[in-house]
Amino acid sequence: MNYRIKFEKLEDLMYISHLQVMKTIRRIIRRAELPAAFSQGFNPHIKISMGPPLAVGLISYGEYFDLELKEELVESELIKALNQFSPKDLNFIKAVKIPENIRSLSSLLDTAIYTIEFDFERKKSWEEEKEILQNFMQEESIMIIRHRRKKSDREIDLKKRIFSAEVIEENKWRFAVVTGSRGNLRPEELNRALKARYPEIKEFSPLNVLREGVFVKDEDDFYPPYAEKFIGS
Amino acid sequence: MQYKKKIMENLYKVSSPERYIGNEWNTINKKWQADKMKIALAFPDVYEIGMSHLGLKILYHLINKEENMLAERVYAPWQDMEDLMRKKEIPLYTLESYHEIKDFDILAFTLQYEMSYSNILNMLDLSGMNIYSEKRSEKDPLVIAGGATVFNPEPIADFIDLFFIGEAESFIITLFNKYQQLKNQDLPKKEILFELSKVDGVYVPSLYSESYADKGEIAALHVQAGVKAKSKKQLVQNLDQAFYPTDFIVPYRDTVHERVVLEISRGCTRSCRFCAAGMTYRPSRERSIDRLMEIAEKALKSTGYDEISLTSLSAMDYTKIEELLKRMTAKFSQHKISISLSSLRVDEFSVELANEVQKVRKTGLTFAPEAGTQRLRDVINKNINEEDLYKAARSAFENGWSRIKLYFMIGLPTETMDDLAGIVELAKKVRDIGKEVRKKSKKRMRNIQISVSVSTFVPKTFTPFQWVKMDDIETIIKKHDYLRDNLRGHGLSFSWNDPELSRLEGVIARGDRRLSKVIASAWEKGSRFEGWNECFEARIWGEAFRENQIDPAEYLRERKTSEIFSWDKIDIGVSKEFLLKEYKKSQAGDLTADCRFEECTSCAICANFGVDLELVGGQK
Repeated sequence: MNYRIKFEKLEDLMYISHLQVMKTIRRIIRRAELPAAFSQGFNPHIKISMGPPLAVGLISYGEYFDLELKEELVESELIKALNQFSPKDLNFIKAVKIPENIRSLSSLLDTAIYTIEFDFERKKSWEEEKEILQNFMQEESIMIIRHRRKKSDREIDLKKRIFSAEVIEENKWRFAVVTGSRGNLRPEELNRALKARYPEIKEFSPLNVLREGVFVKDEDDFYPPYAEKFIGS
Repeated sequence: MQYKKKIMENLYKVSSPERYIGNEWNTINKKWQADKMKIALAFPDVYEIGMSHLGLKILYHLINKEENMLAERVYAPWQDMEDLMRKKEIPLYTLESYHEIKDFDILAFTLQYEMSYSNILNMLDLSGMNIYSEKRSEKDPLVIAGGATVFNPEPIADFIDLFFIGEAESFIITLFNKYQQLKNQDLPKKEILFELSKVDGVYVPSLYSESYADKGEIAALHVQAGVKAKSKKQLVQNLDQAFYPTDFIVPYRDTVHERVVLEISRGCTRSCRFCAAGMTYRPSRERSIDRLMEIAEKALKSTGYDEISLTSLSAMDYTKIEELLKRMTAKFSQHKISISLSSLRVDEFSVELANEVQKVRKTGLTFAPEAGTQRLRDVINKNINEEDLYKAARSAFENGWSRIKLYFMIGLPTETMDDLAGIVELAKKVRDIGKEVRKKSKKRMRNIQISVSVSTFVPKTFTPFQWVKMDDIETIIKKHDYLRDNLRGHGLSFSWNDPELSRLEGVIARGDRRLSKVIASAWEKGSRFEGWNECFEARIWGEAFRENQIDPAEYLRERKTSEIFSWDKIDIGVSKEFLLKEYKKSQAGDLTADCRFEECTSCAICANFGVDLELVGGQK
């Protein structure tokens, strides 16, 4: 039986990498003695497949992985078992049974939604903030240098990577941006691009960024990857 | 004070931030209460190295079992993190509660290798304390240390308030309770230390001093009135009864040992004459199979690891190793748990056993013939012959291994160029065996690759070679050149250690108290993480020696058998007479047998501790 499972990674584990999360989930499954299916071959592994990577330093309320079990379990029991053996700040939220051979998480999930709290040197009104964002989004292209580990720097266009943006309350901006195999955008880069235009925006702090989750973009709406339309057979 | 927010805000700026956050599964986060004695357990190297150390795991869980104590962990920050901490004024903190070290009663370091000593100073400094014991305040935590290199504590004697000699789990709780009692009486630190020095296994360096003669010799050892002249190593008599944790902390980051570490035995009596652990960890003691099965089962359940590693100084010498492996594989292989052996003896039997258990991942196999000729192997009492090696290698190739690493030492006493030629010959012969097997093999095999890894012999205290001269730098380089020139060609590779680093290790290994100031100078000049080749700067150490008018060569010379050693104040239980007898035997090329399998060699350890050898298979 296959399950699509939603989890969150909060502050105390914000600096854990994608691969480390994956390793941790496998260990949780072992500790919980769940009837996991193993991959074939010389070095058998518990079969899980993750959604697009969540970068080191980010907090997220909605990440996903698919898990294959040899026996069927009630979804709520599965979630309870996982949480019982999980370190603080890695929480499993919901499991949904899914049929075999449906689209993988990595091919489905294409959007990340961030809420970012901006600090300004001088406090701005909501209206002022809206105006700044509007101007920012009206630019034709937003070029920025991306620093890449062990690779040369590269210039990228943020504009193409932002689906939508709004000021949801004072100091709180929400961005829907591309993620996964079609490219991505780092909140730190957004901050840098904005700061280049509006120097009174304070320097980036990872604690001010929340990833509300990853989603599937369909027309102008964003859905979770276990929405009926993606798992229906 | 706690600094969590400041730390979390800034960690994205450093490499590998997960080193500095804690919150791993099985972490023990006890309530921070005034009436609890608080102990910070420190490993003077980065997280992933420290997290692989068994001794600290044992102490962490042992101390936290006590209701009136709490233990938390701290590791050395890498240089980028050090810079960040200094810039943002974040003091050294523990991974459990993010409390700064100054909030603790005791800061306990484990000493695993000499090349981590500058990190100890750095950690003291990052904690906001003076590096010198005598300059620290009454309020600062008591700074204590123990571990593998504690048997010569003198090079860091000026920095540490108290050393504990031997296996800490046997007496550290008693020691801490005694400390608490004395502290409750509001005694000054000096008096507390004096009282604690009466506890067996405790060495308080400030109560001792040395005077020096010419050429690096020691004229006399001095001790204050009413203080014992020698501190005797403490040990666990019976491993089955000794505390052993099963709820190991599970790190997120890849560490050296991401698996259940199962210590099957302690101590080794093979009597390899270069090996310090072989002398200082005596006597040999084994854990019973039943107990090991129990620990393994609980630990697997608690951690979720998929591998068990059997560790010991010589795992293959466990007297019932076959039965142990049989029971382990029978029980755990259905759960896809793999079993690995920490060290392989050079013989066919070992390879076949390894093949039995390591059905997966045939990546590489290491053999340690240590020396290139039979003559030199006899000198060092490494009891293997060429035939053993060739048979073991053939068996390995036939079982599908294609890469073999051969480990040797250069600079061993009495070594000549013939012995180096022997290394080349052995390596080539092993490669040819591999090629032959590969040619005949019906299965597809990867190219045969023999890597020869050579380290420079460092004479260590409490070994039969504690009297010998270490090779000088030119000789080491000449030997490296010879091996590099002759280990070229298809299927061969050669790696070696920085000779300057080996020499420094040699100086500190047999060093005395005068080295404290040299280590302090080197640290002040920015030396850190010497154990990491890329961080070691010979120039800094050269300056540090010169500034303090110390000639390192004086520490590397041959010692007279009549000389007083700085470490004579430590008693490891093995007699100096035995070591000297072994030294003489080495010069004659005479072998010494293993008392587990043959008769007693009169090293004095059993008599000294009133123990018998504890072997699960009985003595042969």
